[in-house]
Amino acid sequence: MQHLDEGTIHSWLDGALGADEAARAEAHVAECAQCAAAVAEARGFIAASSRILTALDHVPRGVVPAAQPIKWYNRSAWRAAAAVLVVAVGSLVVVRNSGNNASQSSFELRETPDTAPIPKPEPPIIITAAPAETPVRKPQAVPSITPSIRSDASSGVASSGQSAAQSNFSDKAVRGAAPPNVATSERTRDEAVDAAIGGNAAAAPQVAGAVTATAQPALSSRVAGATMLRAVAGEELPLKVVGTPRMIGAKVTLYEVTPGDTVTFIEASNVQLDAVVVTGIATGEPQARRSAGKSAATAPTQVASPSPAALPSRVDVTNGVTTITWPDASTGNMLSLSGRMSADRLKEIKLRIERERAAAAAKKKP
Amino acid sequence: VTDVDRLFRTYNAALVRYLTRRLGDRDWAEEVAQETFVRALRQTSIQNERAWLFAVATNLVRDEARKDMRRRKHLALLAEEERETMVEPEETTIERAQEAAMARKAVDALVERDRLALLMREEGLDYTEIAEALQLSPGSVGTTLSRARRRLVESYEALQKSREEREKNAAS
Repeated sequence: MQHLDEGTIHSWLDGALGADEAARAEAHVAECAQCAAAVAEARGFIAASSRILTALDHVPRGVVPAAQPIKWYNRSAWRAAAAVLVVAVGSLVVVRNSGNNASQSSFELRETPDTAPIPKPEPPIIITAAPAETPVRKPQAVPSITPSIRSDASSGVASSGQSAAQSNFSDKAVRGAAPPNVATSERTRDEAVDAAIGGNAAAAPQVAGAVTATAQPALSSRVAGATMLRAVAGEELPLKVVGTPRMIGAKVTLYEVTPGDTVTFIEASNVQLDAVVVTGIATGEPQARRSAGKSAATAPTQVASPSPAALPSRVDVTNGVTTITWPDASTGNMLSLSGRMSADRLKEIKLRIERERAAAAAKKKP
Repeated sequence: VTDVDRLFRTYNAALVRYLTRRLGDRDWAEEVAQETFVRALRQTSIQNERAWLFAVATNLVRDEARKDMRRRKHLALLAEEERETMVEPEETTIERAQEAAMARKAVDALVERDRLALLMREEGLDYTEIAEALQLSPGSVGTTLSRARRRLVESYEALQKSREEREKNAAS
């Protein structure tokens, strides 16, 4: 009998040969050393390729993050970092100019062009009432500076994470490129964001120091800087968000109260499932659209249901886990907060979350 | 097909794994898998379910089509349920990530037909099903698989060797 070809050997080992053929192959292999060796080799290939393919399963989850929570996190973090940069650049200009004008009772603030980080020598604009002016500059300057921070501060990881977030189903190139870059998982991106926030905190004293160094008249600008920094700090959550598991019809946030001690905050949408258009593949800018859609969808329920304030919050304790359920005062959505702690402690955290939500809601309204 | 729930529960895990291996992206893989089940819903009857699902998923990857958000929503819900029962892979170490990168490279080096046949076989499709899904003759599946396995292993080993040499050079 002629030797078995490689295809037949694999078919045989895969159990794809008919009974007759299989019997013939078996008989031949028993007698033919050459084919027995080929079978052994084929077994090796089958096992090895299985093992190699299994290695492909170590794909970090969340290469494409769920749009809503991470989007929010990124945005405020970047905004904070951008605002700090504005303060830093602003005070740098102040420091430079005050070298000449330290004795005068006003100081100069050179207008920085949107695109160029280093101002060109132009006639400076003199601002005497700095505190009123500085905060006004913030909204204009922030968006233009944000992109440069993204690429600088976070290097490849954050930017690829970002592009993955923005890519949609048809964005093959980005997705294809994403895994190797983001192989270090979401943690790296979070670190990058943390670093940006850390940079914020680190920059604050520096900025204050720099401004103080500009002698007495600069006091007014120092106040302005402090006000701004406080506004920036207000955007960070005192409660650290440690996770946002995905859940249909609800927004879930995990807060870390103290290290190792987390609470789960669930905001159920009053929206009919069929009406939800937001999915995991939602792209870039849906924040505004989503909130608009949500409030539109919840409006009828609000009218129908009794005033949310009339509904009291409910406290349940099961297996050491305390859960507080209460309706959101503004949207009527049911909110729930649970964690392994006493009801009183949880109520405290509930108040904090509510305060933050109120602040966030107030900020959302232009 | 009306009992898409059963279809989903039976084949989703294998299909997602197949697609994840093919695409290198779990979320994308899940989207394509969901789209595949949406397509199954519209089908009046399916002869060989598994071959059909893998063939459609393979074509979807090619077409990158996505539609029908409403039904997807329902399936997303099912996926959510199932995810809770699935075991997440352990945390990725550097060693693991390197292995995965080499495996990815080796798999990408295969020609598309060999790659797909191999990935389908790994999910337990038999030769007839692979032939049907990829429109091959049943007799050529063995040859395709043997070639795919040999090439995969050889290119992986080549990558491993060059990595070891790099490390040796770096050490000395």
